[in-house]
Amino acid sequence: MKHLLSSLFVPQERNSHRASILRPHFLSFLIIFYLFNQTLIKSFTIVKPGVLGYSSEITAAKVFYSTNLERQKNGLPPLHFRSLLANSAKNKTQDMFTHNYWAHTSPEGKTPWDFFKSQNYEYTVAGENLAKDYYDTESMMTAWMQSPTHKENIVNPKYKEIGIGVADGVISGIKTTLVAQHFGTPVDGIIANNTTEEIELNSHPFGLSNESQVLAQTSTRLAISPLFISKLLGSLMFLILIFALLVDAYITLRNGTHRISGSSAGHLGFLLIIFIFLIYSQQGKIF
Amino acid sequence: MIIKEIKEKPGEHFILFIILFVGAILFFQFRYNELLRHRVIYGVVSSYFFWSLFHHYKKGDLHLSIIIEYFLFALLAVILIAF
Repeated sequence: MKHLLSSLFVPQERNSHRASILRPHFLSFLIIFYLFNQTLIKSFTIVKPGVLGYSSEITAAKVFYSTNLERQKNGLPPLHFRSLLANSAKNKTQDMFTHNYWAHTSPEGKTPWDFFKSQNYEYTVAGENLAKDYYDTESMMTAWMQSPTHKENIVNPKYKEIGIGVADGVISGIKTTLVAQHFGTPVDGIIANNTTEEIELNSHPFGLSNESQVLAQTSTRLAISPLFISKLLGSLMFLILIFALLVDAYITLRNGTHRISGSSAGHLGFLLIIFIFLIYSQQGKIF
Repeated sequence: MIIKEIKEKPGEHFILFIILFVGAILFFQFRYNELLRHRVIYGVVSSYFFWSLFHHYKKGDLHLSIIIEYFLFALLAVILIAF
């Protein structure tokens, strides 16, 4: 074991004066090992759907509050919560879980406007924002606000009302939370004026009691994020390589060894930047 | 060894520093846009690979084993970030 570790990390005659872990065959092994792990995760989501997933603390009330906060920052009046729009947004999220898709238009060709119409919501203008795999409302709102098309919906002065659907379920074998925002302005010009309590009640996909909501949220938190597993494994691999590069550079300098190999400074700088990219890779997707 | 390398070829390492620094700025700028974020990562990785070819060509030790080494580092980075 000692010999193996020494050969892996310490440049010496046995490994042609280059730490084995930095040699092409071991780098290839790391690539294959990581791809195997990713395949294993993918297979697991097929065999045991719903075990891996993204936990979330997002509620419709938080999304409603954050949306109006962004509008306020942009000098716009707040949107009014409309239960018809909340129902269409909730139906949209349920439809995505039922038919296993993630898009504005379903595989059967159902558009967002079909969900508005199914609630008999007659509109002059309407819009839809979607998000999935987010843990918290703040990150999701930031992602929407960074995207010009989603921001256009949130801070659009033409919209007067909003409905929000937040639902937990399984898509492609991965447990997740889907969020749909449905924006609109009614043709009749009569604007809803709902209370916060109504918004809270509407925040659950099935309009369950408070007790059921707590249970549903608790079970969601147990999900193990596949992104977390990948990030953890990737970070470990990067840290091992960075450590090996430092040891390799130190020993080579101490022994005054001359050899043909890549630049340690280059590799180190590159790996550090990629490591930062990996750590700050954004979870969640918007559409 | 690392400092010695940088002192030997400061200009070339400065170019690499600029590539990585600009890449980091662009990454955080487009952090919430998946498509642009991935483009930045691919840009940084390919720039790094081409920098290595330039660096070792100038140094006079551009051997196949070195090209393979950089290629594998670049491939590992892409796989870890994109998959």
